[in-house]
Amino acid sequence: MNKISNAQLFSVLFSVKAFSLICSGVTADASQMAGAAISIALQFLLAIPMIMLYRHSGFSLKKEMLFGKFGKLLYALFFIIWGAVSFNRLWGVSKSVYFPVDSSLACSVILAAVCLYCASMKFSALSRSSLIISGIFIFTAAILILGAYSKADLANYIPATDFGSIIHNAVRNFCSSGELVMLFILLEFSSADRHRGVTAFFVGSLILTELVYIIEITVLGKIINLTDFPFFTAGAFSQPFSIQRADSLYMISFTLLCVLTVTLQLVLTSVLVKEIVPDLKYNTLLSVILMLGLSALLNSTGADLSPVMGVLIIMLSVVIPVIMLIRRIYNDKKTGADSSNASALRVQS
Amino acid sequence: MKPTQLKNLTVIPDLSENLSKIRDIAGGSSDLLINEIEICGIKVALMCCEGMLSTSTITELILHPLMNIKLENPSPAALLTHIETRMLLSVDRPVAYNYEDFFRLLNSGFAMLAADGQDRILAFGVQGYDKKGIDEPSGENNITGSHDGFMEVIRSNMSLIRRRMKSPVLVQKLFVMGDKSQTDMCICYMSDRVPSSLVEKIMDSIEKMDLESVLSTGYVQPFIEPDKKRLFSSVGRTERPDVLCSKLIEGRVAILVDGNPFALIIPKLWTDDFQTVDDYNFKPYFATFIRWLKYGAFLISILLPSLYVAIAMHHPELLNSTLLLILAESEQNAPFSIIAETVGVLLMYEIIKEAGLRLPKAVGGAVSIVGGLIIGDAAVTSGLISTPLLTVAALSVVSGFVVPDLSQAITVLRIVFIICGGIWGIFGISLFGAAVLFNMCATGDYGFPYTAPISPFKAKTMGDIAVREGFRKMQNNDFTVEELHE
Amino acid sequence: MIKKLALTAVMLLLCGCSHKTEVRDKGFVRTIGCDSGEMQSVAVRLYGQEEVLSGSGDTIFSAVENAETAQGKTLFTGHLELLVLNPAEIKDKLSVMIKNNRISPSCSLIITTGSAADTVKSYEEEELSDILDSSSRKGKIVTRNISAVLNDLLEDDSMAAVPVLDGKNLTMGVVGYDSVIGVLSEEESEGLSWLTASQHDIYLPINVNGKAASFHVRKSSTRLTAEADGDKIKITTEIKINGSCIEENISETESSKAAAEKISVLCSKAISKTVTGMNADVLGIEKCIRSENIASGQSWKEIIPELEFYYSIKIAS
Repeated sequence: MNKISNAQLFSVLFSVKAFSLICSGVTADASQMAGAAISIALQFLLAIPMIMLYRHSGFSLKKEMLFGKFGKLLYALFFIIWGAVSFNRLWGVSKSVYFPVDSSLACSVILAAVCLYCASMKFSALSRSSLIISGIFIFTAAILILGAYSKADLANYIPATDFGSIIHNAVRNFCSSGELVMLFILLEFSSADRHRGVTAFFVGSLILTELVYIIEITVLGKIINLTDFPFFTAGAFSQPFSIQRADSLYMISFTLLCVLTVTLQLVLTSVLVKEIVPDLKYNTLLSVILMLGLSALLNSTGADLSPVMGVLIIMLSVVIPVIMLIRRIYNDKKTGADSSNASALRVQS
Repeated sequence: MKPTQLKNLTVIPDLSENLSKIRDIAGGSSDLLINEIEICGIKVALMCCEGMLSTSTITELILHPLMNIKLENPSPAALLTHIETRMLLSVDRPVAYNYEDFFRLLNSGFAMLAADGQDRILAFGVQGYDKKGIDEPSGENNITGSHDGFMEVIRSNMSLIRRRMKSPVLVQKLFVMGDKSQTDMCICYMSDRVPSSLVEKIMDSIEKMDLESVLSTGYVQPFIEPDKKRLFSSVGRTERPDVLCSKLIEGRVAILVDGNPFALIIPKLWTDDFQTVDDYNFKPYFATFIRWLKYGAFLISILLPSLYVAIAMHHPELLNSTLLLILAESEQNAPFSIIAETVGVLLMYEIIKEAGLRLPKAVGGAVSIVGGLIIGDAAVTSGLISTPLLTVAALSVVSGFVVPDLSQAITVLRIVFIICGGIWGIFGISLFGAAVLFNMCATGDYGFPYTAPISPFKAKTMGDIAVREGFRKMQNNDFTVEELHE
Repeated sequence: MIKKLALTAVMLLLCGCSHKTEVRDKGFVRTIGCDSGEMQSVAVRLYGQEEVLSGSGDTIFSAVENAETAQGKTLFTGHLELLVLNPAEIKDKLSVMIKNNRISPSCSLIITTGSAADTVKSYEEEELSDILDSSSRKGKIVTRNISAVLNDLLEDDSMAAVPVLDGKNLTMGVVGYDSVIGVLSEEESEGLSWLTASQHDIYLPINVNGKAASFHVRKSSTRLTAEADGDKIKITTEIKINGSCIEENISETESSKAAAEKISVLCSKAISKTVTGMNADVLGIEKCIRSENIASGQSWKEIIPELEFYYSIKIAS
């Protein structure tokens, strides 16, 4: 995989965050806003050990992954589950917003075919596309804000006072933030001064989350409780131009972000799988089939994978990186002590 | 006989033997003229290719001086040395030692002088073949820029570049490619601007080319643009010397091919297609306006018909009631599906365009009349095609003319987008759009992304991308393409 | 090559998974009148057609679908301009409408005291919409769209102000989840318009020293403020008007004073009918109070007796 610049690291993660935000079915309220802010601040703190780990000279995740191939398998598994969840989100949105495709499964298969094609390109194509896609999303958000300006009623915003609810929302937000795991893997491919890209991502993520929530709350008012996907309903209500419903317009951004997210998950899965089983052929195709299958299973059983995702996120973005950092510091100290002993011996001799 | 074999066949010090060999290799070709004469009692032969040199020049500059040579101790070696060292018969005076060089020079319009007992043949550059004069480029018209374009003769093209760039850092290297055609090609670059490894990489790619003939730039392009799965070309093309010079200053490399009035430019960026010479002659505010108009026209040309189809079939809520009713009313009596109607209109346009291009100019005008007036008007009047659809198709086609360099991609993408939009609405358009975007972002050879400087984003270059800054600002912006290298 | 063929085959197969309907096969619905009883019965009026389609079903959408069969075209509700409902199950019907993603949230709503389907049938194609628009332009009523009404119904008081058609008389009314709580008189309705919406280019009849005159309101804007005043809550409605009297022989000061008095009377009538009479928060008073952090912990019903209303009408010519 090619190296990615800080701007590309930012845009890749920002696009993934934007996708999960616009197809979030969670009812936005003030405690949700406060919870999201706390969760993002916490994620930023947890990203520090990751950056510190990559600052160690010669560190390579490929070579020093905790538990070796098993560790990589865990990450691959996470991306497959997340990919399935992304497909599931597409299913949900396709039912709620008008998609001119007969079934949600067909919708997912078409998207999977496009993602397969996109994943067959170089990683640089993905990172470059992410910059353009995030630009398109920001433009869409600007149109939404423009339309929402006249429809928004600030009286709909009631400040949050229940601390318990804020903490509950913070935990829930954290458990759906797979971007932290993705960040850990992507840091391997990013260039120097990683902290710039990471900081920009968390700042951007915070601004975007709060902006989307405030638009949803002020535009929709109490109707927010009736809708499955508040972002699209807010889009439909805001009507920036003299059109009846604008949500079809937001479908462009949604689809582009969805393709980017799933492609990224596919690429990362296939890179990890290739490291685990180097001789395996068609690993991208296998990964997408697994994602689609799991997604169909989730859809038919109605199972909620959020707790599993939460546990995996904590393990893969908190536990493993921290253990690896401690191990690396210990090894560095040991190597430093050994080399100083060796030099002392050389001096003596 | 292959040129490689001719290379090994050296000139021998026997004139009659050499002449019979030359006749043998030429296979009795009628344009080979051999004049056997004696100068100071030494047998010599003056050879040339008919039609490739100027008769008056050869008579005045070669034949007269040669016939007036007087040597004290005549010998073949002394004669050739005298001609080489004492007589300036022409400025370009190469020497051929083997038959490959001999035939290349002969067929390039040189007069060749062989002497008995000498293993070398002198050549005199007196080319004077018929050629078209410097003309206005047919495809890159402009209002305020220069009106001269490249022509078919490579050396004239080189001089057109040199006239504009007198600095010694402009390097123009000639080389020959094509086993049979022996075509002259020239690689041009500014040695102080070009990225260090770019010229080497391009030359490596060209050397791998094993073509019998190089008759056009199109023969060379696939070899210097190795990634064949891309929709957009990462090699640019121009027939304007001023455009080429501006690209060379940015550190790009150009390739000229003899016999073709187009130069290839490497690397090419997507944004290049939206810049014209006029932009730099107009006021910056107007140039900026025109540039954004072109970006918009590009999107309209690709997406407008597909959006029309998608909105009409799947998302009528995106139109206001009045517009929707106009659309619905016009489509009420149309016999075909709206996808078939749109694709049909665009295909019909492509057919008319193709017919107009290939036919003689006089008949081409008639094709426009038949296409535009008879078919278009009759189709609408008879109700085969609805008026809004025809308007949309025409708008899209006209917008495509704004960026002619992208016309190949636009034509095909437009039709695929219509099909996707018709089947899966805006979802289909977005999906295909994502695939095209990824393809575009993957384009780029020699480490120069096609989508640069938009992605990867380079703020410094936006002065000539998002807007067109004035020259006062641009003069401090010492931009070279190396900054875009990934 | 095999990969490309397989991909092409999959894409071709998936081409069938599309619901395509040609524009000419779509009927664009302009007005729906829906009556709830044991069954939902609808009257559907399309753009550019005189004929009114009728259908009934268990839900409003199944009823529309049944109406579709009579026409042979797929009915498209994305351009619905006007929804007429009878006073039963208002909130449920609006919730369903909003959740259905093909209805414009800006579609206007009228509640009828009689049958909604019959109302739609009894008016010409654009007549009902025109009456609504013209009454709104004249400042007699305020047009409300389905999303705004539903939002009001979801508030604590569960009431919303909506244009109500009582016979041939269109004025504002207050509706609850499934009933019309009260219908306002013409003057009260006009007062409500002044309290809730901006007015443009209307002529207000005034009386100056016993002489009838017209006051031309070019533009007006309304703002509601809440302020704690001891154990009372002071609600001030500030109305800024740009206008002047048409008659030349009447002084500017006198005509402005008369206009302000007239508007105050209209507003107070509307307030006493809705807020005091029906306990309805149709002006967004509760939100205004909450945003000022006044009376926190008190319910709307507890707040009502503490409210005192003031009108500040500023006229500039």
